[in-house]
Amino acid sequence: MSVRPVLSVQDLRVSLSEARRELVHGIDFDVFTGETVGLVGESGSGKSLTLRSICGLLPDGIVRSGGVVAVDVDGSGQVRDGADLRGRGLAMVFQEPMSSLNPTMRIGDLVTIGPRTLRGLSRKEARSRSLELMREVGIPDAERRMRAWPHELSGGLRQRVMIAMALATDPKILLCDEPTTALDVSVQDQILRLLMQLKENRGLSMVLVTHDLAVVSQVCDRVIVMENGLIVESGLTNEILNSPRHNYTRSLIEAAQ
Amino acid sequence: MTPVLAVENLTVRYPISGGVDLTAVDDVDLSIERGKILGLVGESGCGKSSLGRVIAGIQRPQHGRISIDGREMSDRRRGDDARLVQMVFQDPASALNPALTIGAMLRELLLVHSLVTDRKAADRRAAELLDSVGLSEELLERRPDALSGGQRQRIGIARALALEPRVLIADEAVAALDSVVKKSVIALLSDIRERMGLTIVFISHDLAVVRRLCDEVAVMYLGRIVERQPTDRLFEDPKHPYTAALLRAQPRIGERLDLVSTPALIGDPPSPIELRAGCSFASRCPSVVEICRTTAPEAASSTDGSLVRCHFPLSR
Amino acid sequence: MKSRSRWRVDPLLAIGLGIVAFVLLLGIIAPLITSHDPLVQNVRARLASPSGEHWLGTDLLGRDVFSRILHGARVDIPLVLVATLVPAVIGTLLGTVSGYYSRRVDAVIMRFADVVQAFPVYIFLVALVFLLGPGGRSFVVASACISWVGYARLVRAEVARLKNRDFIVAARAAGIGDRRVLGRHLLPNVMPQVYAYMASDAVLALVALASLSFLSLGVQPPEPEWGRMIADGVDRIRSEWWLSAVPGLAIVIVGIGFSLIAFGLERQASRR
Repeated sequence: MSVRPVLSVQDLRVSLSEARRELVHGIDFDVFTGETVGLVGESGSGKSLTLRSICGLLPDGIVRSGGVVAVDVDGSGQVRDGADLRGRGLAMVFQEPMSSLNPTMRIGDLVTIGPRTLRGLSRKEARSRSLELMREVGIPDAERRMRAWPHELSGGLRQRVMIAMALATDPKILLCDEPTTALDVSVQDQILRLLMQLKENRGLSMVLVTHDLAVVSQVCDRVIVMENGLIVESGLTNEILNSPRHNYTRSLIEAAQ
Repeated sequence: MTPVLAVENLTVRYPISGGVDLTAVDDVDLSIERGKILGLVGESGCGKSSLGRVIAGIQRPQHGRISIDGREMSDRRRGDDARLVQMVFQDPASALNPALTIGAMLRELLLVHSLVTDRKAADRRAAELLDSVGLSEELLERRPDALSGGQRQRIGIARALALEPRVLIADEAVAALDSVVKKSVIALLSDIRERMGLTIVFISHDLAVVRRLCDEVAVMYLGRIVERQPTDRLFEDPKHPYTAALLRAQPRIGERLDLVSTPALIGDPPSPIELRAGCSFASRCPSVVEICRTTAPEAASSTDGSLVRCHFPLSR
Repeated sequence: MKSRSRWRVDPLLAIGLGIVAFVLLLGIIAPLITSHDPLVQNVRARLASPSGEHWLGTDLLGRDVFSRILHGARVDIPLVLVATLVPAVIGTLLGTVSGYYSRRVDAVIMRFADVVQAFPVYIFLVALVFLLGPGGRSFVVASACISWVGYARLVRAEVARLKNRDFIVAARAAGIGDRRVLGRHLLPNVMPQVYAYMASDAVLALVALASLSFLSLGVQPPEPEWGRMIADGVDRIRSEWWLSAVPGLAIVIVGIGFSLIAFGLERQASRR
């Protein structure tokens, strides 16, 4: 692990632009190379907004109203804003595979839509790249599945496609927004394993947003607990889960037992 | 003792385009004793929701019998029969009519079934019902959009209780709630069972919650019940390979994911459209043998109501 | 408390209602405002310019224009309201049945709807009125035959959508009969959209009525009707331009009123 963080968030603030109401009140955290950091909290804690503001994907009417998101993708020490690096070092995996895949595009085309748009990949290159990626994420019968439509696939397969799409841009950091919440537990197990394996093979850093502490316990090195737009506690996963210091963390752990 | 709920040979099929049918529930037998909470678990497509809806009288089965207190229910339940089984739904947002106040909704139920004599009695009873689910009577004047998810879910329970049912079907009743609220609603269900001797079928995909609340658990796979045990036995000593895999796949606090080990279950469940001969789990079972593919195993039941549907049940 | 916001009326809705109500009111109290009878002809005073005696002058037959404008409100607005209400009721009923019950019933009703919609609206309208004999009543009947389709499709879609929502399923599971479920549970959730549709439909009905009357197929003379009045003044538009312009303006004002009502209702419904 290098000393310099690959992602550094300082005093991040997110607000509703119209109502000028702050939703995330100035949070700080770092992510180092090769780490998996969990961002945990209930609905309304701001964890999802935090993740989205890192890569500049906030919904309409919500903006990053303050703070710095510094990303050092290549270890050179040169940092850029996260929003600029979306698709160029930062990639995101979403929660709802059903609505996150364009239903009018075939799987094979969807996977490499990033590089085709950003780097102008030719059709042939894109096709072989799609095939490669689909195999990497464990989609069985990939050749045939390339011509499939999203609605023909199960939830687990759709999530694999989304991960393939994220990998298509050769990211260094993977931002995952509740990637397994909508999946059956056996499929969740498969997808979490896949993410961990990919992380190891490709040397990725990961930020994983979830409300499920058990998932955090399984895959995260460090965990950050959020409540009402603030970080209430953060540290090594084992330490936090074994001896939580903040009441909110304690109540989350208790409720998950 | 006559079980409060008895289901026999229940089959539910949905027609899909092209003349093919999707079998959601495949010849299921089930019975529950009074005052018990039975957890019905399984992954998407296992049929637990369809089973719950048929028991609640919301959906019609292709064939099979449902009996409450020994009395067979007809497909269309009229009058008092309609009250016997009530359902609590998953989504607090869509389970309540946005156009009615809580009081209006409860009053209507009570009056339609003549459970009270007049409007004043209805109001009193409505207040009692809210109280029994831990809510104040001032919520009677409010509409659903003014309430939190937890409050709406409690009202969903109050609505079900208003008709004084014998059986309550909770279909993923806590899935959409935050963990702290989840805990309190589970405690409420447990409390209701204690106080009113109500029988509950708790449908859920969340094994941790089921473990906390239920007396017994039945596991479904592709429309069949593959195992049923008292809760502690199921979690500590599962007999069916699918149950074992499900438990292995469950993430737990304090456990790190071990990449060296294989995933609990590989691939996706086979399509419920073309049911093959043999055991429904054969295609993914880690301990599959030839006979599993050719012959469907019968359910081996014991006197205490537990059963396993496997040629080679696991043993410790 | 959040429930309060439900009762706050959208400002545009209020303005729209105000306009329509005001004009209608003017029509109702018309005899109190002007002493001139809208039907009395005075050929010697024909085409008089606006004056103290005749606030908006007189028309080709010497009738007081101001009085005719006011009395026109008593003719146009109620007719428009009825011509909107009747198809709304028919269409809502048919749409409800279509969306809630069996596929076959739905198919039959929708095929009827398709047939009606196959004809261009105005041609159909003109043809029907012609067949039934010109007049306000024919207009209402013709509107009923044609406009119900929009309501039916709207209601059908909403009912079909809400039919499987948990709260409807719960009501049926609680043993509440179909008719009560439809009336007390489903329709109250559908009506807000129907009302908004009615308001926009009213604008169309107003224009249709005025157009028909312009073509002499609507309200028959000597009844004062704004569209008819426009037609009467068309030949004189270079000199006595107010003969057509004022009734035209009246139509526009009432049309705006209904449009604001429609807009306000939609905004209110979407805010819930």
